[in-house]
Amino acid sequence: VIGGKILDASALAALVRGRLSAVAWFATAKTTGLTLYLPSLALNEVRAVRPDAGPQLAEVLGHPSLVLGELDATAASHVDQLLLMADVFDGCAGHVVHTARTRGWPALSADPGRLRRVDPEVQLDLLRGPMPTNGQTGLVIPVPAADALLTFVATRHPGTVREGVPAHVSLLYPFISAAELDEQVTDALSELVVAHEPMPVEFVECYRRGGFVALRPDPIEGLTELTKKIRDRWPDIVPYEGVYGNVEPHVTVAMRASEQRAAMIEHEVTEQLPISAELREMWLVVFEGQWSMQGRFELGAGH
Amino acid sequence: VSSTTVARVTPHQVDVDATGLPPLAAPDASDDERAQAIVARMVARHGAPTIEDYRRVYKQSGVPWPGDEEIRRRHPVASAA
Repeated sequence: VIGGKILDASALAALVRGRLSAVAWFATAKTTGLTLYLPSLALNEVRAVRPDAGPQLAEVLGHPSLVLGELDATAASHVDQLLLMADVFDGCAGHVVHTARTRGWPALSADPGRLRRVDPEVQLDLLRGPMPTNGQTGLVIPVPAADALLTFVATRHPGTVREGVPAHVSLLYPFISAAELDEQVTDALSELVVAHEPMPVEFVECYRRGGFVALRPDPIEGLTELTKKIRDRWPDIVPYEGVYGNVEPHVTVAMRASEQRAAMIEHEVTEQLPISAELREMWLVVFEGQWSMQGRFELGAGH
Repeated sequence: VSSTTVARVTPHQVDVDATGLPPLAAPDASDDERAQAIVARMVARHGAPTIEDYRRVYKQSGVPWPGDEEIRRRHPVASAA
C-alpha cells in the first residue's frame, strides 16, 4: 500500500486538457495501488469552468482508483479556520490542503502556488507540463560565457539541456504575467537593477541533485541580494510556483537526466571549469511559443 | 435517445463506440478492466504518456521502476518520435 495523492483543480483540469503527465497518473494508479483522492470542490470548479468536459469528468469519476471526497460540515469548519489563519479565501485550495493534511498524502498540482498561499509547507507533487505556458515571464541574468558549455552538453547529451534559452541565472520565475506588465513594473525593475554594479563571477563548481545539474556562481552574494530585492518588491509571487522552495542562484546546465547521465554531465562539465563571466544586465523574458527578451536592464546604469 | 456501447476491453482491442473512442467497460467488469477502459479512452482522446511521464509518476509514488520494457507492457506508452 503506497497511499495516495490529493488532486487539486489544476490537476483535474490538466487531465481534461489532455496533459499527458496527468494521464500517466490515471494509467498507473490501479497497477501501483495508488488512491487518487478528489475533493468535491476541485471537481465542482472544473465542472463549472469546463461544462463541455462533463462526459470526460464522468468517466474519470468511474476510475476505480479515484475517491471523491465531499466537504462535510466538520471539514468545512476546518477549511474555514485554515483560510482564516492564512488570510486568504480560496475554498477549493483550502479543501485540498485540508485533505492533504488529514490524510497525510501529497497534493498533486499543476498550480502549486495556489496551495502554497494556504499552507507554504503543504506537501505536494508537481504535475509538470512539457513547456511553459504562453504569457509566462521571468527575470534572468544572461551568462553568455557559459553558452558554449551548454551547447557542448546538449550535443553530447541530447534532451537534457533546455532548448531556446541561453545560459542564465534565474532571479524570479515566473514573474508577472505578460498581460499585466506595464510601465510601472519596468520602472520598478530599472530602479532595482541600476543600484547594482555589474558582477564579475567565476563558475568553479558544478553540482547535481538527482537529474539536475547546475553551476554555482562565486561570489554568490550579489545575485542573492538582487534576487531578494526583487522578491521583496513582489512578495506575492512565489518563486518556481512553490515547487522548489528556496533556491540559490545558479546556472542550470541539464535537467531531467537519469542519475547516471547527470553524473556523467557533472564530471564532463567540471573538467571545463572554471568559467569567468561578468554579469552586466538583467532580462525580462516572455514565453509566447518560445522565449524572447521583452526588456533589458543594465546593471549599474544609473552610475 | 442516446446509448453507450459497453464491452469488455483489453489493451490490445481496437473496438470503438459511437463517439469513435474505445468503449466503456461492462457494468460487471472488474476494477482492472474498468481502469483499462477509462485510460484507453483518455489515450484515444489525448495520446499516450511518454516513458519519462511514467518515470516521474513512479518516482513520485515511491514505487520502484520496473524497467522500460515492463512499463510498455503494463501501460500505454507514446512511441518514440
